[in-house]
Amino acid sequence: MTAPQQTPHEWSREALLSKAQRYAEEMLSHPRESWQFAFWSSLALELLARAALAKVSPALLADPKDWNNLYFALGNAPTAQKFSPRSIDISVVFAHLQSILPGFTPGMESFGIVHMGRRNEELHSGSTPFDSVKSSAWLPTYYQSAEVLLASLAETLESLVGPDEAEVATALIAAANDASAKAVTKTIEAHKTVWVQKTPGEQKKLQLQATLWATKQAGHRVTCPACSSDSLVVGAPVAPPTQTLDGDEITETQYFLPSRFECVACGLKIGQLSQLHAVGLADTYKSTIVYDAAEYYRTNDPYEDFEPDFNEP
Amino acid sequence: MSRFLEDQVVERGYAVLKTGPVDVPTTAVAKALGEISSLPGVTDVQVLQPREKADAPPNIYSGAFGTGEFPLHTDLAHWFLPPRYLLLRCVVGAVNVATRLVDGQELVQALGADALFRTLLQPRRPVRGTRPILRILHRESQGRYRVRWDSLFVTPASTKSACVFADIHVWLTTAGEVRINLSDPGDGLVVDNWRMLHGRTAVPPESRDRRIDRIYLNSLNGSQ
Repeated sequence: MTAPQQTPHEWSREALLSKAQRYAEEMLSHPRESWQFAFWSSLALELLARAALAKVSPALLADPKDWNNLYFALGNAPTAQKFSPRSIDISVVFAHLQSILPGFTPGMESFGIVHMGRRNEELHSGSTPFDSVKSSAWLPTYYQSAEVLLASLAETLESLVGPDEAEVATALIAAANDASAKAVTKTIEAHKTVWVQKTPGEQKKLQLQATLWATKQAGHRVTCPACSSDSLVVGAPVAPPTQTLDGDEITETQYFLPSRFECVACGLKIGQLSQLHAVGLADTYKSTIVYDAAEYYRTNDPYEDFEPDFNEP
Repeated sequence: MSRFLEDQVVERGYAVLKTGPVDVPTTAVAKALGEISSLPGVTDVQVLQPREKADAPPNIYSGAFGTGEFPLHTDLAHWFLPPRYLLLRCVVGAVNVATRLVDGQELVQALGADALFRTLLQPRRPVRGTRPILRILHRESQGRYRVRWDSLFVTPASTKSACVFADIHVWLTTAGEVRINLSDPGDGLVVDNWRMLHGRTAVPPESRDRRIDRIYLNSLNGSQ
């Protein structure tokens, strides 16, 4: 027997998870390094955490200071005057989840509290905490936490962020989990040692060559962690390109997740995302190409001055 | 009768039946089939009669489509949990008006369960003071799905969902459709409202006296 129901309970797993997905879509509509991306991620995470607790029971979300909150959580309509349902603080939600969900580690709980703290600071103060955090510093833990919370809801990252972003998230999580990747710091130290043994003249010459090389080659220019020369990361696209038309020019932008690093000055090479993550070079980057509109729309037709193909008339 | 009915609904998503003379109340027929679903503010038996657009309020299909074709939809798709089954029972028949049926499982196969699950929608108007975010597809137990669709009463709740909405509109134009004529008094049709999308063909002038009783059911006798 299943009776129709007009609306979901606002503290139900379904209502909270659907709204989390809506916020996650908003998050993904912004560039990864933007404050908006991080801000919307925090809103999505709060709802996801609350959904995970609601899956156990919406009663766990009720603020215990007033029994009417529990009564409301159980699906009833309190008759108390001026009643507005109040749920527990998000920090308490994370604490409960850490006790209830085996996969939700103390590290995830701490991350959640810090991320919510930044969100509150963003909302309630004049400071801009999300402007100063690189996505590589928080996004892997964010997705790890989201994955655990979603698993408790019998869902996957794909259901929250879609298949393309889920693939990126999985790669970021794997990179963050790869403890062996931290060994790359020894490689960097070895290159640093060799570098400092070069004469200032040699270093300057190599740095100039590296700057020239990094300008000409395709990729995203970064600073080498060993010798501070201009160097490059290259990677694979994580989203389709977007085009914007401005006058006679078309600007095409596309986001990439780094997979390789190279510095021609000191010879340092890093070939894994996990290693790049360990040294802070795993931030997604934006590639921007400006085309002349005529060039962009020019067809690749070797016979463009002729009539269309038409056998024999 | 009930076992046969249940088997038919499970297999095809609907069942056609004879419900006997119309002097037997539709509530009595429905009670024999399953448990009647009483909706707040709505009589158990709703009388469906063609109405011109100008004569109907904008909150019902006749107000939007008049006597034209009713698009395929789930009844009360804008509710969190729409009614499980609906019984349509002919009181005054019309040979040239049909109930249209399309299997929502085919929609799932065509567009993919994951894409539909991620498609969010909202009632176009507040329901009990709120516009909750709903999903087109819900996963049920044993690999079954619950589908909802309406082109009028719900709207996409995100940009990505709007793209899937457009895909559904396109798919429905080519979907394989079954048409059932409730032409004689007592002709009945039970529809699984969580699976089948249904609609109505246009009503020509000579069939404006068509009358169908509709009643919602929470369950069918013998079913879970």
